Amino acid sequence: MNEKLSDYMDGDLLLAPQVIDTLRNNREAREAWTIFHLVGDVVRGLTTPDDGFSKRIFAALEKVQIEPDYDPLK
Amino acid sequence: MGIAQKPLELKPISFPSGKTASFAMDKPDIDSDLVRRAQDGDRHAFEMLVVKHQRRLANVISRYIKIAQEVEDVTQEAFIRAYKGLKSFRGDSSFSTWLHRIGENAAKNYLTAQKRKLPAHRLGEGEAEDDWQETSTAGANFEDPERLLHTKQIAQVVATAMAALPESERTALMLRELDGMDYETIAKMMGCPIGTVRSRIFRAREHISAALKPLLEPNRDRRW
Repeated sequence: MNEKLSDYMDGDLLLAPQVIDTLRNNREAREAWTIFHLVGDVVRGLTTPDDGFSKRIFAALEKVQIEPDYDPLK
Repeated sequence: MGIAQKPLELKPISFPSGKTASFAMDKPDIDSDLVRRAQDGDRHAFEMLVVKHQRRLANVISRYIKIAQEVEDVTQEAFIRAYKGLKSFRGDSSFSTWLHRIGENAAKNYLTAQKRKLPAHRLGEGEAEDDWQETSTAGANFEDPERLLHTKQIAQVVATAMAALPESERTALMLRELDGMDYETIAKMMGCPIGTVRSRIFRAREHISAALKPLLEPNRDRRW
């Protein structure tokens, strides 16, 4: 599965339904998605936030709904 | 967090075709696909975007804000704004450009609220484009030594793992991650089939990931 995940990261949109579904249900796949992106960012010279950062964002997002008329640029 | 350092310095890349890697290609638009899914109510698709863009967005915000914890707070705020306003994203610019503008506004609003001055080196309005990784040299102040050490360790492990890769795998990964080339272009540059490029990039990622996991393991249960 991780090879398909790697392909999807690089633009193989045909894999989207399968990859997204797997990421939703498979912790190992989510870990691979996280680390593959970390590798890319480090190669480009970006360091990493602490390991709990994205999880904190997810927790914050749980209280948020999409608002049709909200302009995030204002 | 999300601080720009020099990209990894590795051996020069040589190609059987004699071509040079001096241009970047447009990436197929995974982001737009994930945004569309998130707009349709798939919150998980937005979480995938968070994982992908967190360091890039934090890097943009760190041009304005120098305290690492504050950068995290504003980065989180920017993602919340982006999610709330996802319906307003119509694809006129790339998702990353749109997100970075949200991040810049969030940083400016934060500084205004804090009654601080913007850093003298802040970027102009025209520099909110999708070129963050090449242009940014600013960064937040990592005041936490343990965190700084962890960051350096990660960079070192990646550099060591990259150096240990077969040249063909290292080259393919660098062309993809650093130059943003698609598989077809990399295949032409390297004189090999697209399927070989795909395999080389995957093997390189797997190898580096395996080297990184022990370093990330203590925080494993805290990740996504």
